[in-house]
Amino acid sequence: MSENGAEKKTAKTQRTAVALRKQLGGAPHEVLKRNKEQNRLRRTIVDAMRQGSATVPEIAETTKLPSHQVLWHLMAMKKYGEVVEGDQQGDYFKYVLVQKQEKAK
Amino acid sequence: MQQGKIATDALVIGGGIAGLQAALDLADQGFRVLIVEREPSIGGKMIALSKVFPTLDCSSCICTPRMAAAAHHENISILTYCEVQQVDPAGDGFTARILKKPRYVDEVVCTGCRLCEYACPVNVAHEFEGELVARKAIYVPFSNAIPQVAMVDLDNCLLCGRCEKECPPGAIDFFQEPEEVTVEAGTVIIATGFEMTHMEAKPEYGLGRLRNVLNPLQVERLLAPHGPYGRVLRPSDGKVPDTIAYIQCAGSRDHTLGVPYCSRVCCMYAIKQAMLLSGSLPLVEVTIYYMDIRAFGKGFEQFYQNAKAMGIEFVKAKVAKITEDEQQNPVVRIEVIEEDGRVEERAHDMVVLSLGIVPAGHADGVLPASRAEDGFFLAAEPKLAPCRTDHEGVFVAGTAAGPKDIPDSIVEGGAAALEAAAHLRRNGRSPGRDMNARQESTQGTLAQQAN
Ligand SMILES: Cc1cc2nc3c(=O)[nH]c(=O)nc-3n(C[C@H](O)[C@H](O)[C@H](O)COP(=O)(O)OP(=O)(O)OC[C@H]3O[C@@H](n4cnc5c(N)ncnc54)[C@H](O)[C@@H]3O)c2cc1C
Repeated sequence: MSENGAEKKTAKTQRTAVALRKQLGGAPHEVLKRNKEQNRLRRTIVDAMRQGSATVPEIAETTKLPSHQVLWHLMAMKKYGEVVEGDQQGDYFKYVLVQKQEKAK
Repeated sequence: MQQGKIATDALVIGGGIAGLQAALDLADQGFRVLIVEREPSIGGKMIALSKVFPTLDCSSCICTPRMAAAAHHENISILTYCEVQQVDPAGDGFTARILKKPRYVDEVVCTGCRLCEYACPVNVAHEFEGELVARKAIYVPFSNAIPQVAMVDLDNCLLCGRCEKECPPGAIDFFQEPEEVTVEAGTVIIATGFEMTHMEAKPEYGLGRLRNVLNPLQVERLLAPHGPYGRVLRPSDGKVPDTIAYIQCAGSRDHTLGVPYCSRVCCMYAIKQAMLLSGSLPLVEVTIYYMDIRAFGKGFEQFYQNAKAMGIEFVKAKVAKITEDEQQNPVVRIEVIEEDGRVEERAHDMVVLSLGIVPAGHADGVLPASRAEDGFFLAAEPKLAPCRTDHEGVFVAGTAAGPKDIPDSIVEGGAAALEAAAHLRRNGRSPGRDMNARQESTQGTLAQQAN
């Protein structure tokens, strides 16, 4: 559990996650599969949004993804600052991609 | 496994509003209290609510100060993310075995900065938000969680190590192990709260199957300022709903479910949510399908009348089932009781099931107190001493004893504290004694976290 301060500092380079992954012989297959599928959905949604702001039904139409999945991913992206809410159009709000300032480290 | 030992005057099981009140009232008298909470944060259901009936106070504005008061009280120690495995009588007190589950984050070192969360590439349905939005595989449980400490959901983790790389103080440790803590206490207060009627209970109502049929805690989150969507939208497609219906007694007063009793809070939380929805969606029409409205508490009848005056429609009807049309609008099939008993189908954009309150907590035999026939903890003398269980020195408070609202849970928390204090005094434990000397935790986390 908690070590002393000095040892903790080195944790940044120690990467216990990587050590555990090695010990287990990799991350669980199911988790990897799920994550791959999520990334695919996310990319499809992001691609559809590059043309400009869009509502959930519009994105669902373009991507052929179920609208509830589009909403779920959009809201996750909104929560973590990748998407913002735009104007309302009829019964739906539009969503806009946030331009990335810098590429992820 | 790491081992720790804590000696305290009172053990409070459950850190919801009832447990927090009991702990604060004992601690203010000078008794040492240990709160053991199953979830990663204290606060119980109340911290997830938007506003509270009948005053419409902001729930987290009144709950957070209580949580903080307990967390900062010199006589209160808190262990979160724990399983109470067994509590047994020992001498004139009790011994409890508690398993502190690993968060894979050092609680003392973590600053709650959430950089790990932003770095994590995995999205998982967020339980606290009714699964309406994602969290990450490493996350601070919610914005006003206490403690403000991240945790790893190892079942969904890719073990990529990005969180560790980002963590400024180096708090993440994937080799953290569970800790077994033995607690010696003079008295025990059970405040393990409630659960909602399980969604499988009424398959004909479609909860979990129909996307626009929601449980009322999900609606509390939709109405909360930092909720999953930041506004009220329906989950199937993000539409701003025009018509919303409530189905009352969806899981209470129903012998077929084994829940024959009235859950006491559903009429009022439905009316509250209907009013709040009308406030945030000016054009929305809200209909409440009910058997009868039970507005028994102080200010409740007026609250109900206000809702009617606001234009919320109350329809006395029996709901047979809920289906869905092509636009994923839930279609409610009702028998209109007050008129000619005709059967109608009405489509709404969203339907909320007013689920009931059912017992939570432990399997039988873990705690030295019996449950009543309804599954809630038994009050041995329900009239004269409603907080006393059938075991001397064990008290119960809040919804662990039966359905009730927040003010009643708080009153019971206080009453249980008074009973527990009297019990401690009878056994020669006086408040204000320095218990620090008796607190011998083997590990840093416990010792430091326990204040
Ligand atoms: C949708 C909804 C809306 C509501 N709105 C209102 C309102 O507006 N006004 C109002 O007055 N009331 C309202 N209520 C009722 C209110 O939520 C309860 O009265 C209140 O939360 C009860 O507090 P409690 O501490 O008894 O239980 P809980 O809030 O359930 O807290 C119990 C705590 O114990 C913990 N616990 C459970 N088992 C264990 C265990 N084995 N070991 C350790 N810890 C454990 C839980 O994790 C939890 O933190 C509402 C209820 C619902 C469902």
